[in-house]
Amino acid sequence: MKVLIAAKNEGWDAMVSDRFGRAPGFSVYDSDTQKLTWHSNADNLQAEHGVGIQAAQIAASHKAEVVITGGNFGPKASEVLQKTGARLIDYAGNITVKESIEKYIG
Amino acid sequence: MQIAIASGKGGTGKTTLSVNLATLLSQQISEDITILLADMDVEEPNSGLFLKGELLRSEVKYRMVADWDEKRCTFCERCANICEFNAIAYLGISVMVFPELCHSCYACSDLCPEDALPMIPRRMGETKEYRLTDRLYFMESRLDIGVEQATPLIEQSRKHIEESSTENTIVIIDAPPGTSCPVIEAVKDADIVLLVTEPTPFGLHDLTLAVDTMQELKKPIAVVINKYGIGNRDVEKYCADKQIPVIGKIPNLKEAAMMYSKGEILVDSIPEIRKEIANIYQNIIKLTKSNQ
Amino acid sequence: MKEIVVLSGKGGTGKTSITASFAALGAKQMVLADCDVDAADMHLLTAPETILTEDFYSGKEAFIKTEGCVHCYKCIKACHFDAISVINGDFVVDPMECEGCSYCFHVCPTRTIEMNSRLAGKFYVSKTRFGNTLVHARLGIAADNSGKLVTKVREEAKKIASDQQSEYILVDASPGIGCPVVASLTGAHFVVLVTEPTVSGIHDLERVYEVIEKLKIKTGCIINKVDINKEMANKTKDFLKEKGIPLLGELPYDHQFTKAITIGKTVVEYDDDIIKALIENSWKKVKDLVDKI
Repeated sequence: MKVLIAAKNEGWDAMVSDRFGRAPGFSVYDSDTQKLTWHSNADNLQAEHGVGIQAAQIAASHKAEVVITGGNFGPKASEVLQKTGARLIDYAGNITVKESIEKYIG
Repeated sequence: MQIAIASGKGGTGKTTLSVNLATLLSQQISEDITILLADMDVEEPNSGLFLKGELLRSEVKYRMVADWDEKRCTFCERCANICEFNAIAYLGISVMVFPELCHSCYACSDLCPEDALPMIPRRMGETKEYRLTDRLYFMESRLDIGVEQATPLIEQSRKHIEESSTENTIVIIDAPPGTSCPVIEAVKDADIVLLVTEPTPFGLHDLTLAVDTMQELKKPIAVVINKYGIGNRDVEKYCADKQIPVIGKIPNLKEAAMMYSKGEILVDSIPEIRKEIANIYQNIIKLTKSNQ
Repeated sequence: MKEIVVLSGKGGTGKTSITASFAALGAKQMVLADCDVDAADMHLLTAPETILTEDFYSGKEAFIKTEGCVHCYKCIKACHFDAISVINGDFVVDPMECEGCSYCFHVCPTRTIEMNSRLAGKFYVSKTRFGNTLVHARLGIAADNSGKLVTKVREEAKKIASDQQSEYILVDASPGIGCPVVASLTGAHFVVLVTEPTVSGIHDLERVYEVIEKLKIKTGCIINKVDINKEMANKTKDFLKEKGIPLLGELPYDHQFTKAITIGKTVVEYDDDIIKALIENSWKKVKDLVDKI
């Protein structure tokens, strides 16, 4: 299973981002390999509109089954993510990427 | 002739001038001329609150947006890569189009190798036309709540006016406030743009922005100072410096504010204001003649 | 940290005067964000000293190089905005008309069209004369869609507020119901509506409240120039009651507002009597409601 976490920076100890569409990047956790890969969102930050849609597309392209953010998803991002069937966790709290996986995935 | 009435800042008296100028002209001008007042402040159309007339026609306005055809799609992802407005989400097994983000550029639709993104009409608002007297007509365009792009509705309204007016029509446009795309679209066909301001530092600051915009568009402009008597004289000084004609000074009267609050026409009952608005029209004639 | 947005459907209701007064009263607790980027006036009352200026780019615009163009007209046929014309034999893009959709770029057989980022305005961070930070911006002429600039101003204000551990962000929003308004509101904690008792005022209040209702944000309302029309004032209050919107204050039609603006002051600094007391009371009510969220 893959989990996509909106994060302020790369790595296990980075904080979960309270923005989704405009998060600095996304950490993708693969429960099979237990590895974390980083996907920068820098291109998306410049966009005028539809950043939530773009971010949700990133989640879809990784086939993420769970998506985590520290804030809320925004209406358009949730619309897209619901279509992919992912489980959405919002307001995950002021925690690190590692803690978020422990807390919500176990 | 087309006269646009605009202002850098909202609440300076744009609608008051539009409505009263239209009313006065329809009462005074020679018989073969008709007046069309068009409210193009589509986000907050207020002219209609002051005018009661017979509804001639009402038309729903649409713009074309892309729509996904699941049966034709081969999931090549080209559309999502082309769209500059992030209006298309490609999900591998599905494609989603967000019509509110679509700018109707047709790029995805025309460039899709499978014709899987046909353009379909989407409602954005409504245009209504009223007859107030034999000489005075009123048109209003109103953006639906939740529609974010005002410019396409203004563009269609502008074309609508172009078609329905003749050389014997004086068109008065109540433009949206500000200096961005909506106002630029609204004043495109205008022969002259009247910038309404108030003699305060806010009024002056927003006037300078509006002047810069109109000069960039190379539109002939003139300034009308509303609520004349409050604030200071900096607006007049600025206009003198920039050689912008000040063609009217509408006095600040509590009586006028009271009548405005009830949605009443000022030129019918306040002689001072009637005189000043007539004067403004005479000045417009003089200016447009000298511009020609 | 709570974000409070001051909003009015109609222009000229006194929104900026009231926002600046709140800013004067609660300066130490807040960061200010002027999101009325089309007609940003907050700096006229807060006399800020600019700390940072940044160019702001948004969207794209097409540019056709003269060299390489084979005059095939494909770009002109593609463009749905009539932005490309032939001037003295050269194909030229009118940046005022170009939407930045890149359609021409995709159909150009000789790759002669560039898509460049569009300079859409300027963005500033300043220190006001009250000692707090003001984030503001100025939209370029004919720039489209101030929504992104509004978002940028709010985000920068949020960053600064979190660094300074401010209690509030006070946002002066642009009027209307379109994209800049939605951009000013999304995700905010509380909206202070400013209205006036006129037919236009009520009409625009009802429209803008529909937008707020959709975004489900808690709201209160100040009626300015309340004595200008008693009947309309009552109508406004009926509307507020029906929608369950708390009345945060009623301010009289008073020349003190204009007099204060004329000398570059907020009305609470100019008047030390009734108006000041009324606005102080409104600010207190706003804080009480916001602190409960």
